[in-house]
Amino acid sequence: MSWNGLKKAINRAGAQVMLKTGQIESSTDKEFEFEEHRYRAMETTSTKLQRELKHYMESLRLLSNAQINVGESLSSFYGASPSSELGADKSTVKHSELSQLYYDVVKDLSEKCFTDVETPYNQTVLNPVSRFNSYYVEVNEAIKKRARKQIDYDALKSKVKKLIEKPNSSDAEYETKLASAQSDLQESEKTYLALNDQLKDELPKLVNLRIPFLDPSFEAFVKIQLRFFTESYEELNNLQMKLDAKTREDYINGKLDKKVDDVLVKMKELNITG
Amino acid sequence: MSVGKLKKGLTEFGSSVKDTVVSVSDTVTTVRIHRDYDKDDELIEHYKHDLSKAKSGLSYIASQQKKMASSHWGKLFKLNIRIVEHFIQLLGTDSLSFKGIEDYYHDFDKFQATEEIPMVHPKERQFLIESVHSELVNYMSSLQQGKFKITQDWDIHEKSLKLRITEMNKHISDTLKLIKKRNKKKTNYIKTEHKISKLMKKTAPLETKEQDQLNTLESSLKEEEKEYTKINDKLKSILPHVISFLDEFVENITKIILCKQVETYKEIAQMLDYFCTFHGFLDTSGDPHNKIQSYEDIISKWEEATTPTRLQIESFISIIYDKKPELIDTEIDEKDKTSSAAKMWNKITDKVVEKKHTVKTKDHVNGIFNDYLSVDPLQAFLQNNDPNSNISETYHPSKVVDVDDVYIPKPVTAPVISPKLPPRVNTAHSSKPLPTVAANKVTTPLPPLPPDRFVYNSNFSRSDSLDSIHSDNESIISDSSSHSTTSLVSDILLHNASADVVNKHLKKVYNSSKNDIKYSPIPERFADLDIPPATDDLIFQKTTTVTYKLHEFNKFFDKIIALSDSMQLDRRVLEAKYDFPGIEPGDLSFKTGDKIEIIFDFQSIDTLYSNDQKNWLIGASKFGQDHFRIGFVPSNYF
Repeated sequence: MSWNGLKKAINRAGAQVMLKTGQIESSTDKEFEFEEHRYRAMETTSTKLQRELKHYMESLRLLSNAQINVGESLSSFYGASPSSELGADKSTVKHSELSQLYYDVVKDLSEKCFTDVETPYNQTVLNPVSRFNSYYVEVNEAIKKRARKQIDYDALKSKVKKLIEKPNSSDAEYETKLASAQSDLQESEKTYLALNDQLKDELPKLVNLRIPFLDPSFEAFVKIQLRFFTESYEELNNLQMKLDAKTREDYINGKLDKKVDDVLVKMKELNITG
Repeated sequence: MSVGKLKKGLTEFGSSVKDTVVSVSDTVTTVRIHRDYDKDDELIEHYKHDLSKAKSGLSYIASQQKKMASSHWGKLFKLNIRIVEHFIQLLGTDSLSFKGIEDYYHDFDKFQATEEIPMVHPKERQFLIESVHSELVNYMSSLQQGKFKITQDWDIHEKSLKLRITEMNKHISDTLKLIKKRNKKKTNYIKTEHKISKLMKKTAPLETKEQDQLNTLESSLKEEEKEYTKINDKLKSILPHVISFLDEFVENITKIILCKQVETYKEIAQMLDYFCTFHGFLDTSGDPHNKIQSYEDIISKWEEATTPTRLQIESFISIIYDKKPELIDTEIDEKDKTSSAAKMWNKITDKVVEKKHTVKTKDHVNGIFNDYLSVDPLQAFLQNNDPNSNISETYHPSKVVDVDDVYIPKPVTAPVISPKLPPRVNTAHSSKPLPTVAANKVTTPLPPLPPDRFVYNSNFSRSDSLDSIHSDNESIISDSSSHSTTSLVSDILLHNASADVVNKHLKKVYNSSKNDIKYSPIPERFADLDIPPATDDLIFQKTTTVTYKLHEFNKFFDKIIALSDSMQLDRRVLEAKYDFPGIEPGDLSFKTGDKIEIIFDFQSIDTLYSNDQKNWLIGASKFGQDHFRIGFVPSNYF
């Protein structure tokens, strides 16, 4: 920070304190405040959105990982015979191969579909939102600058006001002081107003552009999910189709559960403990 | 570690030291009983390992399903809903409202009242798109429905699965307990056995106290053995079933999990499909089967829609444009935004969450359920009972039999050279006619045989004499010379005319055999002829199988037995002086010292018949009351 900048900052700090305590009257601009509030609301939500979108991908990954783990456990019951050779071209599956095929499909799903889904997801959903959020850095800077200029302006305004209210005629330099203060005030008012106007003009523009900018991402978000789940469904369904028709029917009728129960009953009949 | 534990550990250590000392002394003095680790143990150990692994595997599957049900799916939907909520806050009708926004509207209204020219209300300046809002809201409501349904379904699915897996695991635990019990019983049994053997080894007569101890031990040994075998048998019968049921169980569980997953994916896909169709997100122009856009299409569509807006933002909003144009041009990649520390943390937590679990089966290749689950007894023996392989382990045989230790007493019958066999003659059924036969026939030691007849030993099972069966030259019996043999026999019979009975019987034998003749014997000279008539030669060639010969011998011997029975000759019983392995079909093999009953000796009929004691007799070696083997034996072997 330059010497000049430091001096400015110190002055501003003093003025800020005086503003807070009410010694300096602060200028308000309701219109700007409104826009800034809206902008802030957008900023917080879209930042949150970005975070959630990131988490969404992670949770999808967690889910598929859990599926892989289950598949792996199931297939490990049947040993590590190279399942890729099994039933690859066959339309039916022997049950011992089922779990291995299941594992393969789930693994494939996460490897293929997952990498497939990641790129478009990042490109169309996650990155746009974060790009949008990256604009905030600049805008925030502009808003901060405006606030600084406002303090300068307010400080000068009160200074001039004081000079006018308490004319010190005894001071020979009163006139020049007043004049310089007034010119300072004019200059600072000019910069402040320029910034203020720019923000008032452009903030709503940015805020309004959020809709055309983010809506396609939402659409892509939905479509990607549709694609992902449909693909996964098809992959798994292919495997399910290899099962005999009875199994599918049984599942729908809830008979598969009964089958498991039957096994349990048979197990009980072994009378292990007796 | 607590003091008590330490103490316990120490005493355990002490006892184990003592044990080894004992066992060492045992190995020095006596044959120590090693744990009889047999194939049952091997098999049951195998099952035990697999079962316990299967148990943990099932528990893991249950826990993963629970996680998926309670956390993963729910989280996925929750996040999705939250994302939509944010979208709604950003893009919806009431978007970007903030606390106290009404004050501003109120102020605006007041301000508006003082102005003459009406201004656009800030609410109206928001450029909201109604359809976007409805999209978002619809999406959210369908998501909520989906969430409700799927989490409920998964909850039920998980609960039922867990119930069943717990049940299954209980059974497996029971089985494992039973195995444990069996092993314990076995140890007890072996311990008792060991104690008994120790007592037994005492050379001095046992004291009464010790005798009592022995008796009790023996009774408890019996008891333990009974228990052990009971459990062991039960396990052996149960375990394969347990495994097969487990197989079925896992199979069905796999099916359930698969079906559940398919169902869930289907539901989500359908829900999204419905939503997308409703809001026209789908590519309806093309093939109806291909209406779900590929990722590339999605990207290009998105780019198409979003690029103008991006340009607008970046070039018309000077705050952004003026500041850092270079920042705008850089591509934003969300991937590497998280700090390495956070990544690390994520990795660790992920590892905890996604901890893998595989069932490490004994048989890595074939898993638990395979049909090959059996123990090769030989292998088990080699692994567990082979004195050399695990010499340092629990098995300490005090005496390992070395090759040098084995003394095989040499057979004392040093002169192995047996006397020369009596000559055999007549290999007539060879394709070559034997012109010398006529000369030979006088020396023929063989019993006269009916022509065309082959005579067999029914019990002739020694293969050693069969080896040379195809070397026709040495076949016992001829047929081309049979006519001369016949005359010889007739001569013999004539000489023995006094023995009427014999004569009669022999004649009978002879004639009955003759009656079987189907073809006349061919003169030798014909044998060389090109046109082979259906001669005996040919028949013979065709039927020179061992079986055939044996069959014929059999018939012959039957007759001989009948004959000798009827003649009531006193049968001599001779003791063999040498081994005779038997050379030709029809020979009776015997060992030195075997008692051979001579059934028929042609010498007894005709003393002229080969009187140099070199002769072929028909002997029988008896074993048991009614069983005997019959065949030709060389007379000079006795």
